[in-house]
Amino acid sequence: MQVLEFIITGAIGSAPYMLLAYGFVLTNEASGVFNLALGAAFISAAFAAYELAGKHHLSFGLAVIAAVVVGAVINAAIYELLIRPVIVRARSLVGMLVIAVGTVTAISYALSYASHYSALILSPTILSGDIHLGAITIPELQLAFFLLACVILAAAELGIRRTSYGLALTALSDNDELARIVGVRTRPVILIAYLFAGAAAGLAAIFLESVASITTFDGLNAIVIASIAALIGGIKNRRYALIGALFLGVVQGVSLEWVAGKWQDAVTYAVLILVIIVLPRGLAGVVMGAERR
Amino acid sequence: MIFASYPVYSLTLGVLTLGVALSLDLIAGCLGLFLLAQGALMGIGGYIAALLMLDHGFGVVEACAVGALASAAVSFVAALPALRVRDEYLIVVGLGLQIVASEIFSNLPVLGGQDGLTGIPMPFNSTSEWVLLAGALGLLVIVVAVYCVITMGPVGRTVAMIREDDIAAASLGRNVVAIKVGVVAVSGGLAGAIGGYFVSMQQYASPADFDVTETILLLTIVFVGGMRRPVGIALATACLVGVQQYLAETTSGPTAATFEQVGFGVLLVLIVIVIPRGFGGGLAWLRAHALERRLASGRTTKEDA
Repeated sequence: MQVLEFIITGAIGSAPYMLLAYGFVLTNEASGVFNLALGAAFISAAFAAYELAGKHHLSFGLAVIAAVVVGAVINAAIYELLIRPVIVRARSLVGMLVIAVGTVTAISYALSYASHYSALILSPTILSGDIHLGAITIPELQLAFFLLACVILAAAELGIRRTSYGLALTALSDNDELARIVGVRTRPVILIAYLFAGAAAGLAAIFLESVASITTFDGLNAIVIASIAALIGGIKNRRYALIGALFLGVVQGVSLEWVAGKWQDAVTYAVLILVIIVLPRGLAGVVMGAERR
Repeated sequence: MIFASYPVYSLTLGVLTLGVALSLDLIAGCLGLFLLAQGALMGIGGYIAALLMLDHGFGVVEACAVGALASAAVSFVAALPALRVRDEYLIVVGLGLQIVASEIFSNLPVLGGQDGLTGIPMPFNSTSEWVLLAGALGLLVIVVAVYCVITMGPVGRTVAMIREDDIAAASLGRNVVAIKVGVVAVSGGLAGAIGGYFVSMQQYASPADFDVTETILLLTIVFVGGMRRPVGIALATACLVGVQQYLAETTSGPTAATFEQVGFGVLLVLIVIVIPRGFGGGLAWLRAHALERRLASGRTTKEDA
């Protein structure tokens, strides 16, 4: 029964990685960029929320709005100022990786100085109880975060599938040159994807700092974990990326049962890497292969 | 540390960094595989060499050799499954392996945890900084010799063929998997040997010296210098290590260290924005541009070009 509890709480705790992985795949679809710089938006949003609600004790709702806005603006700014000028001249996987790490490093250290090297923790007073399902105990706040993430991602998916934006995004993802030729205005499509991914990263940040302690140096770690979840699903498939994130949460939850907390990250990474190696095209590749057969 | 002169220390560090950067170029540049865990492989070699020197009285040469073998073995084992994936997937697998290794370095009690290992004997028990520099140069000579063997002659042609089209190489009877895994293992071994020498020179082994930032610094050096361009990589090493050491020398205290890292992050971003193809690609672009202008002005004909 305890394992079941770890599985359920792990799945519920995957909400931040669902948001990050979804945003990561969305920006990859729109711009073709392996955007690990999303970690910079994540940590900037976490810092903004901490400054308002953690340090200056303003309302939690205000902190949520600030995190979403800061995440969206920073991510869009990174695309416009750093990524777009480079991909216009020479698209390079390594170049994007160096930009991402440089940006995350610079922002992490600048924010660590601004926050006096303290941990970013929020202690919201809302939903502080637990829900008991038989022998399983689920913290109310985590369940609320999980449900909110599901609603937001379902709404986003519906919006993408039912609107002209979704059509433009699909065209851009399939063939960006052709999309331009047939008249798709690619720049706003990409910018909207980056704004949404940044906002989702902001929400993920506030989720994580409300249920655990994070530091300004966790940006790269969080986005690498989310990118692994996205790759487990399949890099160009938003829905399977969510399954990848859920799987990640379950692995993290179950690993708590068997290994000490300090080894949790190592075990999680090791399991996820093994899954990527076993399924080199992700879950989407497996399902598509089965459908073809 | 026994370095009285900061320039000699920086030079020695630069020589070792160039060695590891060349070892990374063997897989990223020559094979086109972005398995980014060179910092972790340095760490494996470094920690094993440190334990052998501290607990078993090994000399630096033997300890580095065993460290190199251990790193090569880990690379070999990691490469076999990792080479099933490509591009972004391989990058993430490499970064994941790097983070797992960093967690192990930081948490395993026998490796000293976050504090690392201290009191490691100096290379050759020497107190001369020039001897340490000579030792580092000796290692670099070995790395360059291996680099030449893998990139030139029949082996070099096979490696280039695999990089350009591994299916075609396999159809011509080349054992693609064996060559890929072999080059990755050799590259890991070289990184491990340098890691062993590095911890001996520093007299301590710390997890922070072998984390993901170290791997990204090495990748940046290879990217800026230009893949498969050892001279460009040497130039990029001189620039980046020089800037890093200058910042470290001219600043002190936690605030200064923070701003040093901020400056370094900004520098990485600026390098990619200003020269998105690196020094090597930038020089090739300049040459092509100059040729175009000469052709347009009629000073050169297409036949001359």
